[in-house]
Amino acid sequence: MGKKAVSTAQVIINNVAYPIVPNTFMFTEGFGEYNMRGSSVGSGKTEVVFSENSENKMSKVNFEMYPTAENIKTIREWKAAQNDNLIEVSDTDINRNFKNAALVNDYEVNVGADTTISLEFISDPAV
Amino acid sequence: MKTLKYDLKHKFEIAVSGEKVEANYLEIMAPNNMVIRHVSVLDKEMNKAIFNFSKNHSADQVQEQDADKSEISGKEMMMALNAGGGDLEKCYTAFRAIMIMACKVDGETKFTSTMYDKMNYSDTKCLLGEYLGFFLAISLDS
Repeated sequence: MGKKAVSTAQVIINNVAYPIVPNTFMFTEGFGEYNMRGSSVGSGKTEVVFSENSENKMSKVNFEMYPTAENIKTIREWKAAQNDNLIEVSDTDINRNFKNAALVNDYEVNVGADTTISLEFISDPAV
Repeated sequence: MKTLKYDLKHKFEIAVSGEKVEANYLEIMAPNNMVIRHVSVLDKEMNKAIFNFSKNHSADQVQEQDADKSEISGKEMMMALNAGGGDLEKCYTAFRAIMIMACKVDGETKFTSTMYDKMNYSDTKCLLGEYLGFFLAISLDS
């Protein structure tokens, strides 16, 4: 069977599945960044030192929605809920939960026939 | 307002305040006019099934069964619905809509279609039976 890219995952926020703009969804796993730095140990030898930056151990979830009246109302509720949102993403072989998600950007509601609302969430690392 | 409380036999996870928690029970409100279109489907199918059921059984048999218990359990209601030829597909579709409009999980979280998809079939079946027995069978007399 041929390989298939994940492109139409279902996005459930606070127990409700929402339609989103296709090809706009992205998330990070929330592992944080790793640093690898070289240190000199003398005699021309070096040693690589590993360090973990726990400052950015959090997941990002971004996607866009169409500016329907219902979506505008729902997005406002997500924003008001602060970090009390839960985002679930699922496709055939992939499932991720983003707990304690907050809608961090001050999203723009562009009203028009060909516009979208860009949303950026930050949450606990994906599980 | 009168409500029907149902303890889930098969628990499922729901989102509450940004966390995943296990749902324990469901609470369905008594039918009002907001769900009248869907309740009428259940009412029609239930009455059709009861009529067919009593037509196929002698009056003595039916009276004997009625005398044993004053209330009809959910299981008995589903058996009557099945045996009497009620359209289960129609009933489940109507019941799904009722649940989305008039049900809460653990007394506070609104029931959604995603939760309905997660719910175990045996729980849905039992709950439908109890809903019919609790709200609709009584409404024939009161």
